[in-house]
Amino acid sequence: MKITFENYISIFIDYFEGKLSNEESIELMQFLSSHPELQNEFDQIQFLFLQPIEAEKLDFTYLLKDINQLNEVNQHNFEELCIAELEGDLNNPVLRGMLYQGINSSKANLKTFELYKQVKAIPDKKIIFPNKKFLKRREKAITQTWIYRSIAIAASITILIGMSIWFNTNTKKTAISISNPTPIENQRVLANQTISKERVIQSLPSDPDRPYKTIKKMQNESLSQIDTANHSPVKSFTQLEPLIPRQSYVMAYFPNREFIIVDENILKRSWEGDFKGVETLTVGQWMNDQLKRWKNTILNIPAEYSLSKVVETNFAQLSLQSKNHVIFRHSADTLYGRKQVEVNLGWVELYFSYSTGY
Amino acid sequence: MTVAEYNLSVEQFADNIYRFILKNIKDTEKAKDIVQDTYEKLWMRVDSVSYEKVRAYLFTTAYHTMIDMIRREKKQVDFEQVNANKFSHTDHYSDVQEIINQAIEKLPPAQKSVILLRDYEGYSYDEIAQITGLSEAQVKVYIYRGRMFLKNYLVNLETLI
Repeated sequence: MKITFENYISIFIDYFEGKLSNEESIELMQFLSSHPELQNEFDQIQFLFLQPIEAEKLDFTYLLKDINQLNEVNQHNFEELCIAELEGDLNNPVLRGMLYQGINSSKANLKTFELYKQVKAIPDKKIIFPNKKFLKRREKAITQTWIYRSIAIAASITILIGMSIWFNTNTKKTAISISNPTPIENQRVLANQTISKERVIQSLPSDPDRPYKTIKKMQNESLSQIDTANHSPVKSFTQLEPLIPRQSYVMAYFPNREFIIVDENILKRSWEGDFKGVETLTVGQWMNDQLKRWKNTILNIPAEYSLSKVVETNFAQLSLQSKNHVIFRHSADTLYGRKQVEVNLGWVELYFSYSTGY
Repeated sequence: MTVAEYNLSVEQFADNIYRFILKNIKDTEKAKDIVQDTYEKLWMRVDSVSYEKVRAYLFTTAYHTMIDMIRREKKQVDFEQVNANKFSHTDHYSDVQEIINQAIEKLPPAQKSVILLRDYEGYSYDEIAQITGLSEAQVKVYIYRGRMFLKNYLVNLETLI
């Protein structure tokens, strides 16, 4: 850095702004000592810069007033003193005496004080939280419950295996029967009626202006992805209604899309240690996996938005951590123990339905 | 906190939290959601929250969940407008408490919350400050202002009658 008579002012300013290095500062000081006629100018520039007070922390607490320090009751502080008395803040006996003198000195003051006595919100004890049992958690399951649960799960698995075999043997036939399908919107199909992948694809919306056009574009890829999920391939696509009671499964349902993806593997989930050591997907994990997989495909969510995360605490409790704009609703249908999570993404609604299976 | 203590906290405080939230937002479904979220969050931290502090934890969590929800919704709709249209009524008031309930609805949200925590739950200024994140002095000011507003509301109504 070369300091000259042309640039010394800007260097003075840089010095006070802390922009100079140690070496440059030393150089500046040497320049000043060589040119003492500039010292006065240097000092004047210094005053242009306000220096923060670091050592001293200002304390304004002395400005705080305690209502008990008042030494008189007048029309300006009367109401405040009434409130203080009723809130239990008044502990100066002299002041309290003066306040009660003031209260009794006129009907208007007495009325004011009585009014303040009344302005308290009283809770309506009739209002209670419904279904507290849903908030509660189970303690360690007793052996009997474990047995029943095991039987229920075994029965569910057996039913699903049976259904799977049945589907496999009937898929071809069904696919042929719907080779020229009519629009299946508004069409009620019996539960568990097997439909082929082709039909699922054909049932996707054809109107390109609909907000679901991404689904159409991605149909093959997304279905392929779903088929090759981490676990066993999806065996069937079935209609939503009606749900089969007391059977464990999780489904994703796209309204107007007419298909449901069933993942049977989450049946063997861990439930508060009952299945400790068994590596299986939980309901929440499965949903999170699906949401993550669909984020950039079916759902087409912009990258800057993060998805809600399904939080699972036990088999019957499921919720979503809401982030950004992804809105959710978690509702419980106690009939058949069915639960439903609805993820409303603004342009598409995604439903997860699942039953507890016991 | 044990599971038994957690369940006890449901028995003891779920109604109070529900009442407090419902009084603030006047929407039963959202109030239920907030209570459920609150207990969900508690369950996730069940090992680190002691039973002695669970009440304060629950009210703090519920309060902030509610504030977050209100802020989110304010982006979508003018809450005050909805509030005024949806919940105002012209029926005759049967008693003072009903008038006070009406007056409480007209309080600014922060004042309403501190008044409800004070009256419903009997919290001290310090406890309310911890729950709401306000300073103790702010809490006191809000309570005093709220009381004055409620009293004046009663006076004005008497004048009208």
